[in-house]
Amino acid sequence: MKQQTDRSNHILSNTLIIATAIVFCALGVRRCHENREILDVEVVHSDGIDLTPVQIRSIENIGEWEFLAIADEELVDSTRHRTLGRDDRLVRIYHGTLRFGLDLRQAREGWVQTVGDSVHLQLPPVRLLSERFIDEARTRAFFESGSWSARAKEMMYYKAARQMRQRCVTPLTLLQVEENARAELTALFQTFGFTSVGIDFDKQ
Amino acid sequence: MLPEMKLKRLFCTLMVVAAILLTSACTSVSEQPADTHPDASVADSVDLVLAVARTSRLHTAEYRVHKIVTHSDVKFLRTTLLGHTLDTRLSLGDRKIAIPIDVTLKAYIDFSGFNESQIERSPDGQKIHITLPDPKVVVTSSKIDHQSTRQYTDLLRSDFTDEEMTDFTAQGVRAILKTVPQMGILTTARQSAARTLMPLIASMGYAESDIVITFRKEFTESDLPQLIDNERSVVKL
Repeated sequence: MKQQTDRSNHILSNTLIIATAIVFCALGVRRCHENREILDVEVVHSDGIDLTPVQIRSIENIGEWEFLAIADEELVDSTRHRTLGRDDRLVRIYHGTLRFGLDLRQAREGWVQTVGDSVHLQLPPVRLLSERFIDEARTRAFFESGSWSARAKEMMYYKAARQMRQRCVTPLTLLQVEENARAELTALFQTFGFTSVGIDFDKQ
Repeated sequence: MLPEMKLKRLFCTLMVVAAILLTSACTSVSEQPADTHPDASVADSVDLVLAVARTSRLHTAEYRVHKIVTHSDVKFLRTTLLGHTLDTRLSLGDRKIAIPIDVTLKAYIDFSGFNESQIERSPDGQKIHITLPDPKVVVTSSKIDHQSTRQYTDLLRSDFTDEEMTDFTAQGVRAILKTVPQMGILTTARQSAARTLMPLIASMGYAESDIVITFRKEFTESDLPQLIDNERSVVKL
């Protein structure tokens, strides 16, 4: 009888030790998951760029007066057909800001004529101020399958530029720019004390 | 009750407790990315023409800058134990890329808020002092030189994706913007503004010697970093 009781006590103590160990393990796992700082192992990789110098290629004094800015996005996709397997596709969303206005460097001599409190401005034609309007750094890579050459990406860039021009550089836009230019310059010259402001644009 | 029965019951109870704890631990992990919005996978709708803005900005200086953006992709095994982090470089193969970019920056003065309080005339009306609005710098264009982009990848690694390259380019432009204070663009913007506006004011009947064009304050290089606008492409000087 005593031998049987000893055996039972032995089993009881062993069971308690094992069960307690399991509970502590479970608590440990839970804490590890709740607070990742206790133990965490992961594979990471560097995602920042290196420190490299910035080179100024040119500095130019300009006199461009901007009266309208159109922020545009164009979705451009390219597909390369394959004989075997799925076609390759690249879809990019380009961002650009087309700025319209007039270049004062093109203004003729004596383009501002004042008589008393009246002023007359003979302005150069309004136009797209710069052909470089795409901010490729803000391009979003929407979808990519397969590998794409540099030439393909260059062509997509120029296609996006063409699409932006077609969408934004219209006679209606240029009329709007002229209207804005009149309103803004009239307000500006009135600030300088002129009561009558006349504005004409050179022919395109 | 027999001792064996007691033992079995105790053991079963402890097992159930352990199972509940383990299940709850796993559940809490699976719920961790709760900040993932159900619509997060839906891309922003593309408004083809985003915004048409009426402006009155006199662009006075243009800077064209070039930068070779480089990135070295190295994998590490990061072990965090009780708040201590240990990075061990893995020999899984490295990747490197160099992306040349050309960025155009323009300094401009925004006349949309210009008013009479910024013009002072002498009592005899012969002299004029104009306080210009604060100049700003904007990135008007950026272009990747795809033909000159070079990447080197080990056999075990994949090529850089278009998305990764775009991200590095965006980081490159941000790095360029951080160097704006060292470019001297502020001085150029001021001189160029005076050069552009002086003949305009002179044609209103003022002698050039009687015209004073200044900015609101004497900006120093230390002012510039604090004046970076939220919009990535615009930096107030």
